[in-house]
Amino acid sequence: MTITDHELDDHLRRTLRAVAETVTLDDDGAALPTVAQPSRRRRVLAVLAAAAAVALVAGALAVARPFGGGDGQADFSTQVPGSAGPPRLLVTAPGWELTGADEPSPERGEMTFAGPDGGLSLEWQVGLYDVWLDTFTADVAENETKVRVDDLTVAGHQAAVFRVGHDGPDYVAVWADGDYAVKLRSMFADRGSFGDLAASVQAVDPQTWFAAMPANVIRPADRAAVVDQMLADIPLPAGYDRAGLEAANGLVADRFHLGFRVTLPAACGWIGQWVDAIAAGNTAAAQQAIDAMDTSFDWNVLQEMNDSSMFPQSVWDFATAIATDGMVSNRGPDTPVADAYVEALGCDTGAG
Amino acid sequence: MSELNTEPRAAIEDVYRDERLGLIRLAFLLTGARDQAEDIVQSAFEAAQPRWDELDDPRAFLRRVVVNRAQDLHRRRYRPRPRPEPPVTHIPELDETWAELRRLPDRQRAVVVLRFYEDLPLTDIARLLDRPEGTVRSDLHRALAQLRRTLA
Repeated sequence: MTITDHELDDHLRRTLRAVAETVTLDDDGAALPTVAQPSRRRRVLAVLAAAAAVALVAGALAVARPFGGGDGQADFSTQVPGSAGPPRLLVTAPGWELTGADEPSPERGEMTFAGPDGGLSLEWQVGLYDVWLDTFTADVAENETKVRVDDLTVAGHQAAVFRVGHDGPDYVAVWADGDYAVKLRSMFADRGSFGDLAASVQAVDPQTWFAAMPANVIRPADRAAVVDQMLADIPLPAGYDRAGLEAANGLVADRFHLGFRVTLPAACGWIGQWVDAIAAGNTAAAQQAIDAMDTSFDWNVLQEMNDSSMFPQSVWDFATAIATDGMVSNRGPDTPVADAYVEALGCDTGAG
Repeated sequence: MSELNTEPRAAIEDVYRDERLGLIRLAFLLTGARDQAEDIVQSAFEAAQPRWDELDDPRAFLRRVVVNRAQDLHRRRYRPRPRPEPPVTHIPELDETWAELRRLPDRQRAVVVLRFYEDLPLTDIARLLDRPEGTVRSDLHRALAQLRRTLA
């Protein structure tokens, strides 16, 4: 049996429309919680305060502070000023496995766990406790299916707990740990098992925490070597901050995200050099950038990332563009690389 | 100067009321997970709120944020995938197709959803996904070829 193009198109439209229409809101017509609720001003201020805290910490990053020994080497952490450092928590319930962790900065991080009853995520961020609490409180106020349930004690902290699942059990616990807001969220756990899981969350020392990391998470002690390995086949443009990437600062990194942080400034640097060189008529510098980006097709870390991300293909598209007519087509027809690459690759956003 | 009389074009509350369901549906088709879809849409409005009056096209901005955040979710491959959800439409033919759509690689499914649910031309899809149009066309071709094989 064969399907014509028209039949397939029509079938896909019908399927997607039917599936989308199964999603309904039990609070249809509700107001935007962050705007219409009395807590609006507080939330906006909290967000601004968090942004200010992040900016403050970013400015203080040059000041490295000792951080408890790490996992066998002298780690140094760029801690949030006045804080005891990021939470170091593990879910110890039987059958649950830590599957991922990433800390883009001392101010925020996340972990994921998988277990027999679904998944768990654990997230922390400086200064967002009020924001998170307000968000779930407002959500509960507008949804009959979402409720706040009894508080729990999680890792020694009193946590507000909400049942937030749209059409099934799904719980979230939010608590404050010093300057950090911490959020534990279950996927497909019932109330009892969520309580058991929350009770099994334990604060541990950094060495224990680092030792628990799975293979896809880079520990602080391994970071410099992993970055070196990733950079082995990558020519570096002028101004590339290799030392900054190698510095672990007592934080763990997901291998995929670290690959992104390593390759993004390399690609952006070379393409930027090509753009500047073309504008200045410097053919030697332009050719150097073209040659460097031509090697990107063989960067091992991009090959590794290619199965799960669109980013490598974007890099290669720009490598092709600068080697040919200098134009890309992802901004409509025939857009110059110079006008497109910063936004398309995210060169202005950093890789955090 | 008449700045005192300047008013926002459309209040964010109105856009939230009118667009939220549609955006959640789009996010659900992109992620396959209802609660993640709600989170994504909520975060899109939170991102839009501080700059609302400066946005040229708030609805386009929201859709772009939703699509990008759904893609960001896919990039985090260590995040455990939600359990497969039970049949949703209760029409076997459509549920089977939805199951096949969910098996597509994330970026191919995104192109299919934007093409056949949002009815976007390839140039707009390429702009939304920050992908060259040729790559989007290739992803669509591969996705349709795969669906044709499995659904035949």
